[in-house]
Amino acid sequence: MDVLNDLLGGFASALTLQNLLFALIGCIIGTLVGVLPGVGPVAGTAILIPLTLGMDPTSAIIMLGAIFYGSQYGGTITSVLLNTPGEAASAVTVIDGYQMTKKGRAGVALGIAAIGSFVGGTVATAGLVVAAKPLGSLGLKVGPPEFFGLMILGISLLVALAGKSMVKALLSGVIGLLIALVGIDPTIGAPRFTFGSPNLLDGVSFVAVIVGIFGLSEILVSATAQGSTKSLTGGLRGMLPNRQDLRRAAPAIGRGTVIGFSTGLVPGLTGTVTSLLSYGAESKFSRFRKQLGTGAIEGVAGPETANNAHANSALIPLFTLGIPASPTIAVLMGAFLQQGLTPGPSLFTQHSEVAWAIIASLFIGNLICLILNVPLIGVWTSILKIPHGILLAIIMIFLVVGSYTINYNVFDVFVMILFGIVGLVFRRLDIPLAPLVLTLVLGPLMERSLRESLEISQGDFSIFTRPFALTFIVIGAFVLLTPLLKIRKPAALNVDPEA
Amino acid sequence: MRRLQADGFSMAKGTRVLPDSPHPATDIVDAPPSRPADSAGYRRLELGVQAFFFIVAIVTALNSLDLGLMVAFGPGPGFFPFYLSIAMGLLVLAWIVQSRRAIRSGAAGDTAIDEAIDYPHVVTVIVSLIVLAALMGVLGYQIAMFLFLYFHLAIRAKRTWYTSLIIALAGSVGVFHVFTDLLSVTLPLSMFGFLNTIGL
Repeated sequence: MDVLNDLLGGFASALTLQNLLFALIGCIIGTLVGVLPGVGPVAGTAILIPLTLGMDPTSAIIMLGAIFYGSQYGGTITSVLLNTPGEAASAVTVIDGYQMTKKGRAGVALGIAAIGSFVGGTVATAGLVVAAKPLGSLGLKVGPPEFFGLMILGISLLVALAGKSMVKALLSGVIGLLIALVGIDPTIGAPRFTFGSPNLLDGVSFVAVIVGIFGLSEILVSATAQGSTKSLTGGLRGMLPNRQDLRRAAPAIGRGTVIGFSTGLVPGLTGTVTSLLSYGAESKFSRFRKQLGTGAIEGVAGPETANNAHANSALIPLFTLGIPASPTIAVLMGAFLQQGLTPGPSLFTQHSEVAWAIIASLFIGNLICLILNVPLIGVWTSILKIPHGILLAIIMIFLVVGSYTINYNVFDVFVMILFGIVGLVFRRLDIPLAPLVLTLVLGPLMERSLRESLEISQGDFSIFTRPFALTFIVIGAFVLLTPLLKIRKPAALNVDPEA
Repeated sequence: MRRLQADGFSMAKGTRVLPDSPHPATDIVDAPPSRPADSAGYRRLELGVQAFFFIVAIVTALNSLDLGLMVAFGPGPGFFPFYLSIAMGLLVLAWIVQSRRAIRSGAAGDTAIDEAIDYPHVVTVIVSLIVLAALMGVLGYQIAMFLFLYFHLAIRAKRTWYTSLIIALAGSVGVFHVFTDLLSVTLPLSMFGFLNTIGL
């Protein structure tokens, strides 16, 4: 009953005109981010953080959250109409989505994707409502050693699942941690790794790093990827799926919801992996599995439901334990921290009204995306007709403005450029980017919990043998050591999440 | 599922599916035709990056020791970075071993991304951004961004002068006023008084 009251309170706050407007703006920008090539959800969310700094924390997070799940909807549009995924999680939708477009059923494909996404997103948000309080109270019982163990586990899972080489993934994570430690030491106030530069005293701006590493590096490699975009908008007739479509899609939507919700809880299993697992489930369990690849509605409904369920359920570890499950969630966590909110169990005790307003806004945002996307499909696809050179120039404006406005310092633009080059080199050498982003955000929290633990124990490392802390660390170590134990990682996981 | 794992999962943004394939699930290819991996170039880059990271690990470890590993009430500011630097050094060594093995087995360069990198484009974008960032503090956002956009649109993208002019004005003066007047987000003005007085 308490939960219901809290949720109703959250709806009261989320349904104010101001918050509704920000949710709407977020959905529109998110869809645009999903549609545009060159701006993924990670960079897209990071670029817009500076704009939200002057806003009320609830509105700011509502807008950034809407950008996050709006991008899931947007990615589908280009997959279905243009045979080109707007973002990685929609890559598998291309297979049947584009085939449906060729058969004149683009509207049905987009309609069922929107419905599936809405169902998956809403069910996962309901899961967040149910899990928030119990997991949050459990989280309140964990001390610094357990929190440190939990972060080791979260990072291990992401590192283990990112890219082909564990060594490179770990290296990427360590680099992120080291970058996060630049600046004034929080305990005794000594400057660390600032090399005498006053610009580094406040640390390296994570927004500039993320915008560079994901946004600019994408532009640097995209020069050759400027194929012409041929839209088959003629297939938009008959926008809504008929009864038979719905009957066929329902089991796929159900399976997609379960898969997306479950995988969203596991750090490292990102939307890309989830949608592929869902497609795999359809090819195994669907009654119409033989039609997959030829424009079967299940091939669109399953993965699209799964990736949206995943996007929403990935917020559960963030809200309850303060652990980001993916790079985009890590960026969202950074936005929370910028607003003075610490995601995790204390969120529900110290900023309960904000937490519940954000959760309520997830329901509203999913509905807005559903209503918004179907009628505006023509508008989104027309954006892709803008010549590549103009699009790149426009995106670069946002990269520069986004990195400058975080601290109103041109130095951050140079940081963004530097990390654009780093991102390019990482891509070239197949070093996954996701661990760097995750540890960049988690670094200060991880160090704080480590140092607090050792201050409590007066330097005695046996404090990490407390049952929960030890369990988390052992599982984390096991995950990292799996290559040595000759436990093979499925080939499907050999991809840098959200890169 | 196995078919997808074999070749489809490397799909990411910008990937296309052969439009008229009878077996779309198996015929997923990257949009731009990939150049064969330049093994020598890849190895040079890899070696350079490994050397750089190893030096960074040593410098950071030494710096951390200077900061102090322990203080009176527990771990000092150098504690966490010191152990991270050690881990970084060890990981770079492990990477070097892996690369050597790959070279011996003839697989070096195979792990490089398939995206063909257009180096003139990369250099032009980076240099123009550096010039933009350097000029932003001197000439202000509007003039610096106008020059940057006009260069990219008229010279690089070969758009007509009036298209370039309109977009460059919108992206510089337009964006400046949207951010400062509507969003209360200030962008830099020129440090020259005469430009400053006319709002640039």
